[in-house]
Amino acid sequence: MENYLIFDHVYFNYFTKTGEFNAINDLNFNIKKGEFIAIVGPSGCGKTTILSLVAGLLEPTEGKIMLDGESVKTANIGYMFQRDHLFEWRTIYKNILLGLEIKSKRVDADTAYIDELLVKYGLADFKNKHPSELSGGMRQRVALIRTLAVKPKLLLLDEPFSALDYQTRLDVCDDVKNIIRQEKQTAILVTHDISEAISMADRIFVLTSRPATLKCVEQLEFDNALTPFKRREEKHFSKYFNKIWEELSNEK
Amino acid sequence: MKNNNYSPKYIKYLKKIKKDTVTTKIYQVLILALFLVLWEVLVQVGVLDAFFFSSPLRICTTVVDLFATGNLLHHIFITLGETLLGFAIATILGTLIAIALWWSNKLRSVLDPYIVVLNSLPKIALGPLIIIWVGAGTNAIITMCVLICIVITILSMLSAFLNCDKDKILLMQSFGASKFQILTKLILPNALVEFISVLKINVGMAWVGTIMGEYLVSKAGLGYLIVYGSQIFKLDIVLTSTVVLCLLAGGMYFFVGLLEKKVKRI
Ligand SMILES: Nc1ncnc2c1ncn2[C@@H]1O[C@H](COP(=O)(O)OP(=O)(O)O)[C@@H](O)[C@H]1O
Ligand SMILES: [Mg+2]
Repeated sequence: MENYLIFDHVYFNYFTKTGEFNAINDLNFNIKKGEFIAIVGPSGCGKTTILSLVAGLLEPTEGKIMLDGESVKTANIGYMFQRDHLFEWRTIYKNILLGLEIKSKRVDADTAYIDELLVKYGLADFKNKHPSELSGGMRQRVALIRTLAVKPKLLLLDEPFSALDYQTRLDVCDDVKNIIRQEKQTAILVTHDISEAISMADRIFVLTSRPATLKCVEQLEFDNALTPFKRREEKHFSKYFNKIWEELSNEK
Repeated sequence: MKNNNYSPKYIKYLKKIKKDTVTTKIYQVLILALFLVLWEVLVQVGVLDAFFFSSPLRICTTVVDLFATGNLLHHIFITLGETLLGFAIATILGTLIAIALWWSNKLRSVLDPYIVVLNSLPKIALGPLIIIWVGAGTNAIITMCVLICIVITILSMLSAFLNCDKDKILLMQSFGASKFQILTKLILPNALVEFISVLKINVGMAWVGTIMGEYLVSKAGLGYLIVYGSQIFKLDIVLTSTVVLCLLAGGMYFFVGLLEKKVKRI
């Protein structure tokens, strides 16, 4: 398969009053359509910066980022954050409509797709509720559906589970992975949790500490049918874990 | 609610809560009654001089008298009108200015020192200037009222706008939202709770502004009645006007409270 997202010699510098510093240093990688990538790296190394670059919210100081042959500035990209950021003054349904409203293309075909997602992922009964009436796990599912409603070409997840307690986190991992696979989304997950990365991804990119550049890439071989939770019980799970843990501890 | 599902202890707990609110209400009424009775009795037996302290009964007769001559309603109408107008202008204009300051970082940083100075300035000091600029009349009173309310409105609303979660703004941007869309779909609804508390503060401030304005220039209104009453040493009039003011301000606060309940339910 051909390359879908391309990072071509990407550099990024932050400008502050006290100086200019290099956050991303000569980053090169390719992602194929339908792939699930996890990016792990020491905290503060520049993971969020990479996602902001992909989302077109920041512009590379040097280098080029292309998604499916177009510039990421114009591409339709979905972004999911650490917290769900549902708007309390909107109902669940209205929250999910947010993206379409902004793009002002609330055509029938799209609302039909939203209704389909709501039914498929068990949110139809909560349509008219407000976010505070839902559990943390449920809210993250709504946040994901809100992002998918605009049919993004690429889904970015910035530590989307770190605000949840451990038990919920394992459930939501399964849930999110399942939805992403069913909707055949290409996704990039950023996390500092190695086991989360191994349980979710097809490939893992390990970053160096700041300025971030690609340290190594790990191709994961798991049975396709395994849920993230089941993956954790596999024998080679810990082998991957040790390998990546070692790579990361060399960075500190 | 199905009562039969609750345990006896829970029902007892509910009863206690209900009883507590009722007793609180009773105490509140009792304090007022006690105060009025004590006041009346002390005046009647001559401990307090009715000439200086008036009395509840005398206030009642004054209210009836003033109503009969049609004066009181006129004065209430004037003061209430000025207050509501000043309140509305300050709230709307202040919010609009806060929006402009949120919109433009440049404008905000340029105007910052002026707003700080305006905030700490005692607005009453501008009274004479206001009178010279807009004339000694209703305009001056409303201007004073607006001046007192508007600065706090601007500062509170601006800080509510600026406190919006950065990630929520990023979320909007990742959907490709324009600045105007970020304003209308995120910043404004997000600041609604703060807006209600600004309204509450402004209810108090607006009355201060109007009465202060009326002290300075008026020919009618409750503030005027108070000044007039004290000049001719009719303390009945002064205290009557004060009581009416209390009732009006309380009523206005009550309406804002209703609005708050409605908003909280959304
Ligand atoms: N807007 C900004 N201005 C200046 N420095 C920033 C900004 N955002 C992040 N940084 C710095 O850039 C580095 C990388 O940040 P980030 O991408 O958020 O790291 P990570 O997500 O991996 O924890 C950090 O050292 C951070 O302090
Ligand atoms: Mg981060």
